[in-house]
Amino acid sequence: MQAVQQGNELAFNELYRRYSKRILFFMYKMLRQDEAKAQDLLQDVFLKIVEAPEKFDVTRNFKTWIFTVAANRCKNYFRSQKGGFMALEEAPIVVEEAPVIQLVPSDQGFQQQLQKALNALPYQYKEAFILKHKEGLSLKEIATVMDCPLGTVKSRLNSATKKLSTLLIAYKNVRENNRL
Amino acid sequence: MKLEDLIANKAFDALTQEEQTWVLNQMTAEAYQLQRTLIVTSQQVWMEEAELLEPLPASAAILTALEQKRTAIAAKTAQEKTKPQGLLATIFNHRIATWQAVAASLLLFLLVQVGRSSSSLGGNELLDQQPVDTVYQYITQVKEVLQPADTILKIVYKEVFTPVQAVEESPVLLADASDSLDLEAVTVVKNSQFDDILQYCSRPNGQPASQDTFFQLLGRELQL
Repeated sequence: MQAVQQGNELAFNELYRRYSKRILFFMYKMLRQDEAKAQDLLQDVFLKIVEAPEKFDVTRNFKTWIFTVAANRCKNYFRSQKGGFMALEEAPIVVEEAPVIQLVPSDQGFQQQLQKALNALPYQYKEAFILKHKEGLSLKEIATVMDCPLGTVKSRLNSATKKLSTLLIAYKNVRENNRL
Repeated sequence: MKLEDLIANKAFDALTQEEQTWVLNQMTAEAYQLQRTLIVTSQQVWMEEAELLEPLPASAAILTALEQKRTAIAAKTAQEKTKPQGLLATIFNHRIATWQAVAASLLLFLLVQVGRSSSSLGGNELLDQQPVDTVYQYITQVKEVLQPADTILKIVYKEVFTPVQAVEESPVLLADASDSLDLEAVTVVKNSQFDDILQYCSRPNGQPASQDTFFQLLGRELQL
């Protein structure tokens, strides 16, 4: 990163190779599988790294920093949408009535249902779940990325897992009933 | 290990006895296995999805910004190099090889030594020196100082004889005394065995009764 701060193109290319795919996937999931928008925002994130590298403290973890930039970019995108997604501050932490997901058993059944259930999760729950189980960040790193206390991360992660587990149970029951 | 890490990495059956006990304190085995299935399946799904996603190459805007950054830094560095510096800054920032620094130090040392020896030869040379004895003489001066004498306070105690009238001032005591006199002693004295009661009351080994105040009063009372 220090080399990138000096404008070293080779260093930048290495950085891009290492992180672009992970950041793209993270943004893709956070933007509800909108690949085009995720690609756009990916370019924005790296442009920011090039234009204002001095904002990065070289003594800190780069992975945490770049995921923080990406997460903030997604949030800013949602906020800028007029009449689009609900503002993050207004989003309920706990959804009282989860959206009804049609459980249709099929060959790819569970994967599709999981996708839908993930999209139905509150934004922060989904963010914590993906950062933990896809990107492999520690709870402390997730707390840094999401800018919230460690306890909140644990709580969100626990709630997300429970909600998705409930979906899994429902899916299994439906499939067993269909078999009968 | 944390619970979420255990769920992600180990099936319930693969847990050690200790881990199973710890997990069962927090959730049932079914819930553990369910959450594990969820996480493992999610990871598989995401992996397949990620294979389909390929990031676009860095945009022209990024490359241009990078180029501008590099150019700006290069220009700044060049400017710093060509920037005229002050005399002190030039001296302190000037770099030389180590051997040059060592050689300069040695040269300076030699010059100092040579300078010392040449200064000792060129000036007035000391040819002879007489030994000088030092005698220490102590001079004692007597100085008389007249000081005023200390004030002496002399206390003279004067014994004042108290007349007998003092006894008369306490008639109650006398009356009591006369009332309480031993009548037997008075009778003995009156029978002419003794001249007065003082002789009667004296003891060979003790204080004479004549000197006792009480008996003096008693005797006087009896004479009356």
